[in-house]
Amino acid sequence: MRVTHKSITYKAIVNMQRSLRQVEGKTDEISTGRKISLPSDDPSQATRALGYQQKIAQSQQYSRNMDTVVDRLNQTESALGEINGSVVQIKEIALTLKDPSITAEELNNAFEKLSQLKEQLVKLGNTKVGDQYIFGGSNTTSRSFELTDDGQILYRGNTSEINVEMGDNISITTNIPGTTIFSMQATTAGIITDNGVFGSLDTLMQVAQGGEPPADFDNVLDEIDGLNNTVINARAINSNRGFRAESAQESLSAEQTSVEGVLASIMETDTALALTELLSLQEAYQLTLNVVNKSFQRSLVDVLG
Amino acid sequence: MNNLISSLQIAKRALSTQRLGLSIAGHNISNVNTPNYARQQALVEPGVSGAGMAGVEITYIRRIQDRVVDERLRLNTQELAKWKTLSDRLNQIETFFSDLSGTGLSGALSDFWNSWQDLTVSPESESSRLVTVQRGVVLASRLQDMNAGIEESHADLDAEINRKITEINEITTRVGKLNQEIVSIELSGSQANDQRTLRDYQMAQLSELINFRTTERVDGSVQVFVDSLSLVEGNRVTELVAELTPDSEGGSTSTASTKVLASNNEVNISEGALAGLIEARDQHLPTMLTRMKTLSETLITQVNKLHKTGYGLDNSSSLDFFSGASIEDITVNSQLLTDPKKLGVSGATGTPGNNARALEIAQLRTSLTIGATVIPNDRQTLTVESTDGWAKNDILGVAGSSDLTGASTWARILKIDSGTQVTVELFQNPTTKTFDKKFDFTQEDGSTTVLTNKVYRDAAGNYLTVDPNPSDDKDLDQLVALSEGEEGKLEELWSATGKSSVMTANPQTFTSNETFTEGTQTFSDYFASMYSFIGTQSQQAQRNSDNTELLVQQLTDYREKVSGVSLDEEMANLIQFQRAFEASARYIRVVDEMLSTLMNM
Repeated sequence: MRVTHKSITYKAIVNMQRSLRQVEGKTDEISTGRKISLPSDDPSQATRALGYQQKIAQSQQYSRNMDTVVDRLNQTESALGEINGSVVQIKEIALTLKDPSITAEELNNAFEKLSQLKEQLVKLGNTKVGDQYIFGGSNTTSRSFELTDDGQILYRGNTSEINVEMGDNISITTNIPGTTIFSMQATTAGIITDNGVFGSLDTLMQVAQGGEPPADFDNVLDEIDGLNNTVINARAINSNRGFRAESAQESLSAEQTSVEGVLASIMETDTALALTELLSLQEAYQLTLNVVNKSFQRSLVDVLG
Repeated sequence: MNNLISSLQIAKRALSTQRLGLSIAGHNISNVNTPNYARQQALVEPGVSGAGMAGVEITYIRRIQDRVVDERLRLNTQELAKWKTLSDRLNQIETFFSDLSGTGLSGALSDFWNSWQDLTVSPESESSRLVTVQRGVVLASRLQDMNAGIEESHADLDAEINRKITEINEITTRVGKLNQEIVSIELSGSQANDQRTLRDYQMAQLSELINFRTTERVDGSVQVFVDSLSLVEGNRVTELVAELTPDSEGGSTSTASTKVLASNNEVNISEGALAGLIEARDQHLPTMLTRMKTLSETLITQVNKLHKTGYGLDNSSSLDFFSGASIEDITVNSQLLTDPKKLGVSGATGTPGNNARALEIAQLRTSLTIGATVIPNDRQTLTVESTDGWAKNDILGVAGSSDLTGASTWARILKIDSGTQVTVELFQNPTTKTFDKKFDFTQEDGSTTVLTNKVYRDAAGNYLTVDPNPSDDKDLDQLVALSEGEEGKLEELWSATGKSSVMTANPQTFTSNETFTEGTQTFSDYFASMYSFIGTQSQQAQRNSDNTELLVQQLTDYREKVSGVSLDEEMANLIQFQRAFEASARYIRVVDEMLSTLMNM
């Protein structure tokens, strides 16, 4: 086969282009830190990477949800703790009221304490986390409980639960309506039909004010025990939710770490490997240049001069 | 017998032959870098003059070429041009999918859903509402940008296709002219080598543009065929025209397809840059656009459907989240932009802490929403229980007059349950309903009775089309019977014992909302399949282009080896002809000396 200078030049150019393209590709890989940036770089891996990216974004969002939820549940827990303490105090005062040898001064004291406790409970019922009144059901922007001048309790909230997602279609309830905690009964419109704790408090306050103790005073004591149990149950439910939210946080962060690992292995350049490859590509390119240079040095034209 | 004078003739011919040889070498050397130049070579033969010697004769100057290789090179160039163009175009389209760099649509979608999640945590927060509205704006504008990009690509491609068609027409015109020149030169007995080189060059250019085949005629002209239609025949040239044909009446130019015509016959363009452009224009872009449209439309309807039933902080309701109908005009409702308090996060009025709607919208991310069909809110299903103690057999259907125009409420019996229940689907103000008055009524024993629009029932419970007892006012006169799946105007529901009191109550209050059937894919799956589709197509085009390029390189190299000018060879030829010229000149001197010797005798 004949060989012409042009055919050598042509092939040399083609080969140099090819080497240079490979050098370009590797350089891009190293400078961007990514093996794939467009879907055609590797369609199946790119699509997988896209899925993982979304998975991470989603899981980060659930973590964010849980951060807020855990904070809210912790604050709920401390409020419930205080409510529990108050109910225990009510029980103690009730026991003293049962004592027939109680003095007038002691009765007075008991009344004072009871009305303080009532105010205290209303205050706790209006516990706010951030901008939210946490015991008002889904009515979170206005005070949940109001104590009127004549000692009436008004509930402004409702009995709705608030659910927040901790995973795909897995949600966690983040609130306990105030009516549940105080064993109150309210219609959905917030009209109270049973005063719960406050009802018992009112009964005790009447006794402390010198009213006749009701004949079934033991029943009142039992009721207070029941109220206390309700609060304890609410605490148990709440701390169980806290536990769920925290373990969700942990598993979400574990999931993120593992997905990020997979994503990195798909997308990120192994710099050491890429550099080694780049070096050998550059070497090959350099060699091609040298060879082309040599093969064009002389032709018959030069010899014949 | 030779004489000295004829020897001078031999010498003269030798001189001119060697000089021509030198010219050919010079011509070859000059054209060493001319594209598509095939080196020329003189065919030299001994001259014949009866029994005597006649020196040398140049019979022919030929171009050295391998026609098979040339043809294969042209075909492969056509294929390469197609894949290269398609690959370039798909690469441009791919830039809409820069999702892995975090700037694409999937990021915007993800951010959008996440912002609704944030609202589920703090539904009463105004700043979170503002963020959600803004995320909606970003998502909408990204969709619009994508649409604008696709439209721009369409316009680009249309312009480019027309440019290519113009180029093709220019080339074929030149080929026609060269054909004419070649025929007239070669008729006179010479070879039109250089005109052929020029023509080959034009054909090489044409190979980049379109698929074609050639045949050479005896007179030296070539005929150029595209898909069995002749573009060039001798000096006659048929021009190509491109036109857009909308896919259906009133179809947009985006989904129109490109037709290439040669004297009103459609030409099938399968290779060359033109084929690549048309494929990108007519196949890939519309596929993408259709998918993006489906995605946008589903997004709009699904989010709006939920958002409408939500309540804002100011208790506003029934607001759309997105306005616009599809990808080209999707925006966030301007009322929400000016007042994010109106965002329908809550599921009930007066409850700012209720996150029910936000939660449902956030859950659209993982639900199968693409491909869901919408049941419009002009209908609802109603389960009617008889107060009159119907038996299944008694339920005849829906009564109404045969004049169905202007009916305000239509009904269709969906299901006839146990003894006393019938499920009726009601339509409000049906405007496009067609009504077929032929009803199949399946009886309890499984047999089917085909009924006309008037149905009667006798005491034995058989369905009849003739009133068995016209004087009996209990007869179900004027009754239109419907079976499951049939439609009719609802006025009354009849049983054998008479009008149902339940159905005589006004059933025309419609409170239900749009409902959706379950779809087939989530938003992200749908987007991912589109992403992977475009990636695969682009990669395939790139690979085909690379493979064909290798072939074209080999063929080009082979052609160069056969037809290319070798400077070494031509230098050697130069010396060879120069020396031969010198020798011939010397021969003349020898003959001349001999002649003078003869003269001086």
